[in-house]
Amino acid sequence: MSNPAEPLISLQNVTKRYGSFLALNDITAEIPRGVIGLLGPNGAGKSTLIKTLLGLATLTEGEARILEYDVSAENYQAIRKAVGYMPEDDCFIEGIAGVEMVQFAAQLTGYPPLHSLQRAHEVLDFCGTGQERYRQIETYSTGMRQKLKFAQAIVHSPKLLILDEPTSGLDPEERIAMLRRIEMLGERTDMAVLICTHILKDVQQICDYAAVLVDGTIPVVDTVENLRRPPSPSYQVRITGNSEPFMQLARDNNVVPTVNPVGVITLQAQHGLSEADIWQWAFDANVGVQSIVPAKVSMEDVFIQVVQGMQHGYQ
Amino acid sequence: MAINDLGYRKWNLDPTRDRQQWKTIAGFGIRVAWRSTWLRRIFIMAWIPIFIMGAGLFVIEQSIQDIDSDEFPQNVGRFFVAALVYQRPEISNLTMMTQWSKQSDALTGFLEGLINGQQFSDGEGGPQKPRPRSRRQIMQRGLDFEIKDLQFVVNMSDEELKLAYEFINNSMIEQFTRSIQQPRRGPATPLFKQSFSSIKHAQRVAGDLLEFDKDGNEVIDFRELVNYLRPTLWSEVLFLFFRLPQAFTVVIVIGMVAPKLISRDMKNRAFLLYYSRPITPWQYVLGKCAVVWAFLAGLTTLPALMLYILGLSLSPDLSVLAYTWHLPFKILIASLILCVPTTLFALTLSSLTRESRLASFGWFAVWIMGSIAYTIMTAVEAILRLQEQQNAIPSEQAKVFVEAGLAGRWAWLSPMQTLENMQSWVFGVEKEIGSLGVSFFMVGLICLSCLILLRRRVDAPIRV
Repeated sequence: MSNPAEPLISLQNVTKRYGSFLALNDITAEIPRGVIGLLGPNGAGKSTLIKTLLGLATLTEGEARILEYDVSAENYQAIRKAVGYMPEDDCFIEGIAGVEMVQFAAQLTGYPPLHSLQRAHEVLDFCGTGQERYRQIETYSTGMRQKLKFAQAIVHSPKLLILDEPTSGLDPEERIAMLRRIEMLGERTDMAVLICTHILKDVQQICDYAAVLVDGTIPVVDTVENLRRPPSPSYQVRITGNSEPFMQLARDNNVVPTVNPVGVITLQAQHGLSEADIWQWAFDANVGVQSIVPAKVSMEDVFIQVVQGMQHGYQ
Repeated sequence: MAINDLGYRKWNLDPTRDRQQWKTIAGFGIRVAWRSTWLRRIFIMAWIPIFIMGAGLFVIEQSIQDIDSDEFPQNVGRFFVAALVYQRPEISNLTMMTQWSKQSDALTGFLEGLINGQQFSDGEGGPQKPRPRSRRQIMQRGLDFEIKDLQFVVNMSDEELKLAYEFINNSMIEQFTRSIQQPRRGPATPLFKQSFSSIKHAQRVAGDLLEFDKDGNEVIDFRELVNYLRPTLWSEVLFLFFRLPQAFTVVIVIGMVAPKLISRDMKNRAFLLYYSRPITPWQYVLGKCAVVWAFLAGLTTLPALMLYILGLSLSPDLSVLAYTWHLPFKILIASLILCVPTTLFALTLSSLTRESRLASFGWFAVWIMGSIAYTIMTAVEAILRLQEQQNAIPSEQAKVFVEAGLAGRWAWLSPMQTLENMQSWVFGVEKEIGSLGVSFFMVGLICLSCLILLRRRVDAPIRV
């Protein structure tokens, strides 16, 4: 059994070169267990990092550890048994039906054929695949193929599920369904999930942790909660009545109010700001308060800050 | 959420089939390939020859049950026996073999006569005198006679060669002249060659098969003869099966199955799905090879073994097993010779391109172009030999075309011919295969090269 306190992925001076191109640049980081979002611009090295962890690419320098295994040739088989991988690429085995491909994936992990077939149907049910599972994969839409790749990744109940762009190509309804499935796996099972995605909103929605990979390095690994916490106290307030006196009172107390098109007022203070202050200003301005929630920075902002910070020597 | 979404259940079953993933790859590959209607049709067609040959074997075995009978169909058996005897000089010349030493002495005397210019016997008692010119020339070039291998090596003019040939004919040992070759410039060529071991073998056979009748004459025991010939007969049938229908079917079936196996995985990036599972590149290669081997075994090994079992069941008693026990092993070896190089080559072609059509084209092109090149080169060589041998014995001229093919100098150009040479060696049905060493070398080289290339190609996605 793995130690829950042990990090999910541990990287020590990990470097990967493709010829003269430096894909991973001396990364040292520890990624905790849970549902983790791995963010990064195109070409940042996300796929390279995943392939390196799975043994699909060899490390140039450094040491890596995933789950309880050191990433080395003798552990590749054990790692691949313990990890489920959903590639970003449109990859499939031609000539077989969807259910056969999932069964095939289970059998390749070492399970007997009949059990694998039974399990394939289970996970396809979980993925919301109906009778189309009996169709040839070549006839599948992009969304169907995404679901199929997801199903083959979880068919063997991996300890770690690595998803590379799991929601790309899905329609909004399917995207939400996919995120709910991932969220459910993270919450109700002991499965760790590592999501590589460009869609920052997905990370914001379902991830416990986020790691940002920029230019082959990981400058930031933290909880999504911490990353989204604004540098100074801020609240988002919805009020009824005339908002102008309320905002004036805020300005008088060195708080900057901004109103978005739907009428939500964001109060950003330079120093201290509490909910009690907001209630007092509402009373003084004679307006009603519908809601007060702490304001959070969006993942887009976090991402942009990190990328720009890296470009300007951010540490 | 779909209505049939039953939620996620953790699977607590432990994987129990470690290192057997190649079987999974093979199983799915076979399943996918078998969905081709045309492949199924060809497969069924490929089994038809075995039924025909099985029926033929049945007729032969029934007809030789009572070989001494004059009634039909038993007398049909004599035809088959005679046909086989014709191909086996050690039997057709049994009587002569027992008198071998006498004939050898006569030939030695003839050649010594040629050298010394003395009178010699022409085999019919009449004296002949060699021409002084022949004597001088032979003396100059020298005659080498090795009694150990019973081999005479001499450079002769056409006239001298004819003289010697006539003598040999007259001496009833023309069957030993098969290796008479046109003397050429350069090293001496064998005039007459019969290996010592094959003579010993023939004498052994003679001892087994010959018996004396009441008048003291040597007669052949036909029952023993049939037992002796049975492995030969079955080998001929099995080789015919491998050589004609199955070799072509194998080429077609491999061309339909193998090119898709790896190229489609490359095209559809399926490598990511394979290699994110606990399998190694070798398991992948083995699994893909096993797909092809399974089909080839169904086309060659299985029917050939069935034919053997059919032959056993039709035989008069189980003593046949003592004569034919080696045939199943020969079938397996012949199958391996056919399957391994062809499979590796086809899969290598498949691994070189993402388009399976290109791999198929390459596969068929190699076989067709190889056969054409072999035919052309053999014909050219035969024509050249004929031009050189205009003064040769007519019967020898007729053999030139055959010998040009049998010599197999160009067999390496044709995969079909190369594999055929090796299989004929396995079944022991043709003795004169000049290019056997070349065939083995070529096939070994191709297998090794393909294996290295194949491994590198399938390894490429994870060798970065």
